[in-house]
Parts: sequence; structure tokens; C-alpha cells
Amino acid sequence: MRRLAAMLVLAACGAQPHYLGAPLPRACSQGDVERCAGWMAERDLVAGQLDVYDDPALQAYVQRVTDRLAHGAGLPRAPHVVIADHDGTYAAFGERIVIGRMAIEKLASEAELAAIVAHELAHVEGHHASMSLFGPDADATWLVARRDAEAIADERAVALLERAGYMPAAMPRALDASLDADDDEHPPRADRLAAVTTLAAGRTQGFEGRAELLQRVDRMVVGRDTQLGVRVDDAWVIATLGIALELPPRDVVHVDGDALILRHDRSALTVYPIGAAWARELASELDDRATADTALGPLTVGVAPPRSTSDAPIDKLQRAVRELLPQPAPGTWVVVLARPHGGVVIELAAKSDPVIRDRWLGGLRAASRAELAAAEPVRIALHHANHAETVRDAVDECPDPERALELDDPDRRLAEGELFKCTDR
Amino acid sequence: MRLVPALLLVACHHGSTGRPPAPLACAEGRVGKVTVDGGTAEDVPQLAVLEGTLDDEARTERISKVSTDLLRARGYAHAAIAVDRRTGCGVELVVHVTRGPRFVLSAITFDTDDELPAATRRATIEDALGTVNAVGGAYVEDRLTRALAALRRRYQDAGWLDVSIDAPRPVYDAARGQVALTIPIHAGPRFKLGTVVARGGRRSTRAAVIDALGLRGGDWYDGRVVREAIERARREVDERIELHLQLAPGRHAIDLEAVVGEPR
Repeated sequence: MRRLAAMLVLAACGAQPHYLGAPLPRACSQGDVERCAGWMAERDLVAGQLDVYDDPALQAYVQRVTDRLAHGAGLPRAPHVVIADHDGTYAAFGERIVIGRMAIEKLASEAELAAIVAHELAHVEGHHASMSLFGPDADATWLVARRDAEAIADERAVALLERAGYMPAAMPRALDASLDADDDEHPPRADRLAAVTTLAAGRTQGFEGRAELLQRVDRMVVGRDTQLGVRVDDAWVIATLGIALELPPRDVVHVDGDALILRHDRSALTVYPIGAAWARELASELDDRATADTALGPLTVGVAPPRSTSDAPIDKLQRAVRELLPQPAPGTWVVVLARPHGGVVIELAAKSDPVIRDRWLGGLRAASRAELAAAEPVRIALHHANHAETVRDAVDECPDPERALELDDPDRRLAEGELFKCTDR
Repeated sequence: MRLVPALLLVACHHGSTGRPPAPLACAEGRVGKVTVDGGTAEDVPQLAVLEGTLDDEARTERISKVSTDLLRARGYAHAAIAVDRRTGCGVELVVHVTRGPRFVLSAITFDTDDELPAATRRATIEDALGTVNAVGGAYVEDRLTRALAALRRRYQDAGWLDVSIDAPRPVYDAARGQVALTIPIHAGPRFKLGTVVARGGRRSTRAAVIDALGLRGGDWYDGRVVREAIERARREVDERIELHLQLAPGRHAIDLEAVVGEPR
């Protein structure tokens, strides 16, 4: 009887809808679109891509900053913070805030970190994500609404800093450090800076927390994480997964983010790492597939299937969220290698010469110790100022002064013995 | 002894999150306060977060419109929002919310006798995990307008090339808080596949293409099946194959021509 009951439980679990290897939360069956989509978006980061920066202490620290801001805002609960391993910082659906590691590295104090979080928190407070789900089409009206929401989030962030006891003047500094080129969905950079500068009005009372932030980011990876793929001599090394692909001398090598593209005449191959659950799912859905156990792990070859066209509400939502995952176009010949902590997708152009293709695939192997060491990313290393000086002068002692200058305001005055950021090489 | 600094750290941490929120500085040109009349901040979160921002009357008007649309998306079909401004802590906004009755979609009737499965029609128009434009959810007119454009494409892809869909007719029942929707569809004739031929390349290649396509004249036209067939043929024959579709003159049929080109 007990065995039968266990089997029934297992059968019931099997029937439960899943997304990237995990059962869908109750929000998805209760029509709570924001929470359901938010959960899926986080699952994409964790299990679809290798895009969560694995530093529990840093995550807990940013979460505490968020809790403090949420308390000041009077929110019933603070949003959940995820540190992404890339540069995007955004408020995801369902009370989630995604902070890009590469945004954190440029900040100079806890108050500046709070400013970045406060901007996203304002989006959560204002339910701005709902506008994407239920608002107008992505036309001119939508763009105006988007720009309004961004401007409001900037300005509201100053108020959230004040309420939580942080220094309001941190907002323009944080914005200045984190803004890149202008785009259509945000007000122009100059307007954004002018608005928050007016509201902050140079007010420097409140908590700044420079030492607090710096201590938390010591040894944090800087820039793109080279463990997700980097050229080491004549091999492309994905250290996170412990593998390497040999690069034949006469082939054309092109790197696009975490993806490597190899070309030889009309043959082409694209390689990129993905999350373990996504690798398993992709492999299991390939058409005409064949799987072999190799020394590196299970390797599946097949053709990427057409995208699902199911009209079920949950499938429509999944499709919309999943569009953002790295994936082969339907009809592409694909090889998926599953590793314990992720997977590798190898896309092969249909016209590829079988000899070239086999040579490329034959070059897939475990990375050597030396290659893994060479793929180690650049990290933050804290130094103490020898005497009172500006950051611009202090970074002369860093191994890479130019890179160190990108991590702080060059004109910041440092007191003797004060910490500043260098890179470790 | 090591416990003492640890306890102090814990105390500091709790102190920072547990302290009461500090008041906002009042300043000319800044929204110092937002109060909501006739509802709660949860009804108009987009307006509530204007507290602390720069006062921008035109922007506030736009946000009011967005908030109204979002209330309507929650089923308050006749929701209205007005914003008053007064001087106090800088500028103070008073948001007057009139939600009106909440309507739930009680029925969706497609006024047509075509053979597209009713479940497909319903699924194509429903939105937001079945909470919008689905029975039991809210009726949101502009989202339905967009969904009906998608439904029209769906019909055409399934062979009803001349389909037209009239504006939906909602009937409100204020006493019950329900709205029933009728959507008139004029499907017109359903088209079939006419001739299926291959052109170009060698005879054996053309035969292989036709074989790989697996399509037969006389079958109902189905865009998805045709797209899958052409992808399959390209893969199996490994040739450049272009697809030409043309209406068959005088018949409700679509002729398909696969043009075989140079090897890929």
C-alpha cells in the first residue's frame, strides 16, 4: 500500500507543469501573471543561462540594502534580489530586482548601491511591469509611457534614499556611474542627471557607507566573466563547465559575448554555454536525435524543432519569457553536451563540410589545469591610499590603472589609508 | 568575548532597517505628498509613486490615463481618475478614484458556423494567463482588438483567406457585474491546396522534394503544415528550395510551387 501511495505521489508530481526542470509555482495556476512571469524570468537566469553571480554574501548584503529601502517606502515586503553575472539591472515581474554585477563594480558606496536598487524598487512600487503586460502596444504612446516610468523611477529613488536614511546626493553619482549611451526607452542622460541633481540638491546628510560596499565587493569578478568562455592559446575554454574546444589554425574565429563562432569556407559552428536544466530540455526536444555517453558527459545530436504554437495561456507566457533564452533557430543542426553544472550548445550550419564538422567536434575535450587557471577572471583587489590623494593618482599603484579608473570617480579625494578599488592584475 | 562585537553588528543592522522612515524634504516644484481619495494607493500605484518626484502636470495627466487603463484591465470597465493639485509640502496631489462596478466576462460567443475549433478561437483571444478576455476574467477592449487581429491571421493561416471579424458587441449587466461578449465572424470559404509541383533541379531531386513535402492537392490549406513541410524538404534534400504560393484562378484553392535551386 505504501509503495502504491508513493507511486501515486510520483505520478501526480509528473503531471505537474514544469518550467526548466522546476514545477511551476501556484501563482501560475492562479492567474497571477506578474508573479508567474517573474518566477520564470528568474528561472531563466538560474537554470536557462549561467547568469547568476554566485556570491551568497554579496546577495545577502544587497538584499539588506533592499530591505532597508523597502521599509522606508512602506512596502509590505521587500522584493527578492538576484545578482546577475552580466551588466543588466532591471525590475523583473513579480517583485524581483535583478542587479547586474557589472553595475555594482562601478559604484563607490552603499548609498550609490542603494540608489541603483531604489530606482528598481520604484518600478516595483509603481507596478511599471504591468504596463508592459497590460499597457499599450510598443508604439509611440508606449515609448512615452516607458520614458515617463524611467524618469519617475529616477526621481522617486531620491525620495526612497531620503526615507531610508541614505545620502540623497548618491543618486546623481550612481546614475552618472551606471548610465551608458542614450536609448529610446529612457529620457536622455543629461535630463536624467539634471532631474535627480535638482531633487538631491547636493544634500550629503545621511548614510554613505563607502567602506561597507568596498569590503563586500573585494575579490568580486570585474567585467565579463571569462569563465563562461575565453580564448586560451589555440583553444576556446569554458572554465565554468571544465571544457575546451580546439581552434584549428586556419579557421576564422569570432567571439560574440559568451559565444564563439568558427568558420571555414562554407562551414560554420557556434558554441555557447547554457544552464543545466535548459541543456537537458533542449537535448530532449531535438528532432531526429541520437544520444551517446562520452567521457565529457551525455552528448545529443539532432535538429532544433519548430517553436511551440500552443495557445494555452501558460504556454503563451512561457513562450514570451523563453524567447529571451539563448537557443538555436528551428531547423538548425545542434549538438548539446550536458555537464554537471550546465551545458554547451554547438550549432552547425547546414552547409558544413562533414570533414570540417567532425574535426571541430573531435576537438572538444576537458580543459587542462593550465587552461582553467588562464580563464580565471579579473577581480577587484582593495588597496589603501598611501596619503591624501585623488583616485586618479592613487590608481598608479594598481596593476591596471586604466581599468581601476573605471571602477570609481577619478576625482574622488581619498584620505590617507582609505580604501580604493584596483583589479588583481 | 568575540560574541560582543558580533552582537553589536547584528544590532546595527537591525537598527538600520528598523528605524522609522524619514520624512521627505519639502521643496517648490516637488511633489511632497500624494493622497488617494475614493480608493487606495494599490488602485493607482503609478500615481502613488509620484510622491517625491518633480511636479510635471503633463506627465501626471499621462500617468492618470495609464492608471485608468490598468484599472479597466482589472475589470473596472467604467473606472475614472482625476487629479487635483494644491500647495502644501511643495505640490500635493489628490487622486480621486472612481472605480465603478467590476465586471466579469460571463460569456464569449463567436457568431459563426465555421469549423475552426472553438477552443482555438478562445485561446487566441484570451490573455494574461486567462485573466483577461476570457470567461471569468476582465474584458479589455483594446487588448481584444489586438487579439482579434491575431485571430484573423489565425483564420487565414488555416485557409479562410477572406475572413473578416466585426467589432465585438459587449452587453453589460450592472446588477450582476457581468459582461457578455459576442464576436461576429464572417469566415467565408475555406481554401484547399491546389496543385503541388516542384520546378528546377533534376527530375530525381524534384521527386525527392515532392516526397519530402508530403502535401497533396485537395487537402485543406494549413500554413503551419506547409511551413513545416518546406523546412523538412530543405533539410532532407539539402537544396535551396523557394516556396511560391498562388491563388488558383476560379477555385478556392492555393497552388504550391517548390522551386529547387543550387545545392546549399
